[in-house]
Amino acid sequence: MSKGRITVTVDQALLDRARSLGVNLSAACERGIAEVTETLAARVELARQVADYEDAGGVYDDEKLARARQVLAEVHSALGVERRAG
Amino acid sequence: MPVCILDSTALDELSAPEWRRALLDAGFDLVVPTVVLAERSTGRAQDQQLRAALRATRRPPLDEAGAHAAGALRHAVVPTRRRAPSAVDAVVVAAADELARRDDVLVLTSDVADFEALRAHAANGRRIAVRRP
Repeated sequence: MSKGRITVTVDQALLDRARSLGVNLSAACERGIAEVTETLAARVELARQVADYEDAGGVYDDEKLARARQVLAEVHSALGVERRAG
Repeated sequence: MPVCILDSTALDELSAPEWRRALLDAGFDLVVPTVVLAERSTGRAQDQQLRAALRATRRPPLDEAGAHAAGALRHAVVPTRRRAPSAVDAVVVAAADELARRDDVLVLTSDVADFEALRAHAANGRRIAVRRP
């Protein structure tokens, strides 16, 4: 079986939506259409859940939010250091 | 995009709006290997919150290659630990290892010691970070 090129066409709205959610469609398309769709759907759902919480007047616990952001910042930093060391 | 894999203990955290907000802001792609659900689902109405949180995740199934990879990791850890890590934990790290071939991966778990032991034997362990939520 020969290997063929697959062309993916997306409209501007989807491109803008993906970009706003931090999804790189060009990179993701190289991995396969199913994963692109799944990743984008999950990110849209996550954004929707956060928006719903805020629209409903939900109040974040500042300490918990700060702790979560601290952990994630540490992870970004640690992975960057380890990659350079490797 | 960095990937965040959650084990069953971290799934509880995902139900907290603070963690959903922070993970979204940080741009993580959320992944829950389906085998993890066997540790959290009860089949009862109380699963409603769990199901809502799961909608924001990707949930890759366990295939044969993944099962073999998990078994190899678990076997490699056995001589160094008083007890072997659970098969589910090994599957989570094997999934992280596969994703780490092309992305940075964060594993969120309350059982850091077992996961670090497994990560040490992962081929792409340098691109995996294990943290407690």
